[in-house]
Amino acid sequence: MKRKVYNWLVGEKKQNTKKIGFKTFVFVAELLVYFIFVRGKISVAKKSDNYNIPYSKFDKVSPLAWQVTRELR
Amino acid sequence: MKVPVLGISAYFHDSSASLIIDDQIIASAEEERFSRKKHDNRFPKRAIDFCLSAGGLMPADVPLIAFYEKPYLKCDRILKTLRDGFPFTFRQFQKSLRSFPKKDLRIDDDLKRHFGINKSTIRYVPHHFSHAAGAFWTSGFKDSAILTIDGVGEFATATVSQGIASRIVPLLEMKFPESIGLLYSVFTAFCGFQINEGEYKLMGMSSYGSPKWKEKIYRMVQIFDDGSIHIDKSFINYHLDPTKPFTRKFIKVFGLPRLESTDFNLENNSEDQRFADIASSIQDVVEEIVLKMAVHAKKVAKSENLCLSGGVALNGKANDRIRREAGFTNLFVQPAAGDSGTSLGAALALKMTLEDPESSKSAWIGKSYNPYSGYQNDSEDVASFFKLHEPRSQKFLKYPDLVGAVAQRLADGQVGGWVRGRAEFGPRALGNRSILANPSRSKMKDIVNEKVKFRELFRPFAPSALDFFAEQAFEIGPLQLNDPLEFMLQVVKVRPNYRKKLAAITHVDGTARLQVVTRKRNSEYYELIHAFGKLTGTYCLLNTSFNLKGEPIVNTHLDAYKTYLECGLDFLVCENTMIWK
Repeated sequence: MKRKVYNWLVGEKKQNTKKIGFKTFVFVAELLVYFIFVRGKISVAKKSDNYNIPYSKFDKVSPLAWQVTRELR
Repeated sequence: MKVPVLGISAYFHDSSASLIIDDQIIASAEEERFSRKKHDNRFPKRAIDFCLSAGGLMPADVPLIAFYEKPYLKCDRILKTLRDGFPFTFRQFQKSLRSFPKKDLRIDDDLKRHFGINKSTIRYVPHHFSHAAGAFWTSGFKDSAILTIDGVGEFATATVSQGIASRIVPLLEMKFPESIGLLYSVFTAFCGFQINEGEYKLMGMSSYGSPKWKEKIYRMVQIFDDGSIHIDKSFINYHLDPTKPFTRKFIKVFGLPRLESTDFNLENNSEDQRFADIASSIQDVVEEIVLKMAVHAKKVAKSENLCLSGGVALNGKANDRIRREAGFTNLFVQPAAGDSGTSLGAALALKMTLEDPESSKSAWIGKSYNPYSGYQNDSEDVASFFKLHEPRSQKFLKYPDLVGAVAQRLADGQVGGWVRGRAEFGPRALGNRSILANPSRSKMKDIVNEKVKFRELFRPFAPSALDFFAEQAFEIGPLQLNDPLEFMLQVVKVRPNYRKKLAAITHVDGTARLQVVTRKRNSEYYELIHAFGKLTGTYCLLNTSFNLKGEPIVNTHLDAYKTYLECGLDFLVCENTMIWK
């Protein structure tokens, strides 16, 4: 049953049944994170430029944006 | 300041490493050349090893390491895009969530694990700054407009900036998912080629068609006067799921896509004419966009020089239009314009942060760029290897003797492999890792395609012509410093009276992706073509990269020997040794 549920959810036929419980848990956790993560989607869509196309898609860049940094960001 | 700087590009495609010491580019190489996996995107351990040994350094001797992009910003962009595509992006979200810690965010771990290098030595350079730096500080220009166009970096897909001596000032950027590179890639996938691999095949295919589908492309792409674009996202899906680049609406407009495995044959398959026409149309549209961008870059950066970089800068047809129509006096295209070149760009960008940004001097001004910065075989090792393994091998003590023997074989219609000196950095073989043949024989194209390269028959081969002969046979002007023609980055017209004479390298539309060889740039290759010209009257050779379909260009004599055994090459030259079948 576990495997059936897992296959239905994940779409892969795994032979190792021991890992199925854990993988299903990871899958559900990812699904949760995804739903939490997309909360802002509607507000983003409203702001989307698809509704208001300007005459140019070029933006001005601040020289600060091209700084070589120690941080990953 | 004399500080060694190591540049690294990794985890997307075409990983590479570059080393700069004392205003000299010591070494640059792609990981694929060593790992033998095409477009290898793994941590470039072997390429870094090579760079360090070329510079005579230990890992601890490198105080500064430049990484070619900002990983968190890239992850940020991916996550935001996946959020915007809700709820159809869940699978992609899962994949990304798992791949971030394994790939994009592990550069410091990998450096520590493989080389024991502390993460405090790493600096992160924005992706398009890496492209811009790689183009500007290798161009030799004192000032320049800089245009970088590729699929996507962190957020930017195209940028305009201004280079003045020792500094680069960013001016404009176009952001994801408005991307010329991705637009071209969508059509690349539609015409049955692999994304990030088949773009130049699409360019080759475009010559067989006419731009009948342009109006339909304009329905999905709005082009503004400054060259920026807006893509109707109901046609494309690439930004949400790279495995499904186009939507049903796209298929409704352009028809069913071409299968990857099918042969392109215009005589027996009328469907292929449709794909050729679509390829021609998107090529025309991209040329138009890039040209508009270049004209706008001239306006905002106020310079007579232009530096081009990013994957789209490898489109030789677009480069030709920019050169002829954009109004710049000089054009430089970074030979490793794709992501492999960003390791060099990142290293240069970091190196220049150590200089005075207000200085009007720079060590790079007026310098000739050397694309031959890769691996070099030891000629004694090569000779002893072939003496042991090949009964028919000959070591030449004098270079003119070797050149004479090779030229004679080529004039007789043989096809040979040529491995001499340091390997090229970038996707083009510029005469140090090349397969060479006689361009005058009309059947030579089919022979090289079928017996040697095993690649698609419609794709053209490039010529390497000596400077004085190139002016006679091709429609080109005088060469400038670091001319794109020297790096095979511009498609030009073959003069009508030479098209039959150079049948094997003249494409169906009368063009060729020419490499002009000068004595100053590559004297040994120059001597070879000169010897061939003395025998045949044609100071030009057919030059294609020394690799088989799906493999990276050969690096060592062992790679070359393996390729030689696997295909129909008549002879092989490695350094001073020649072997033949």
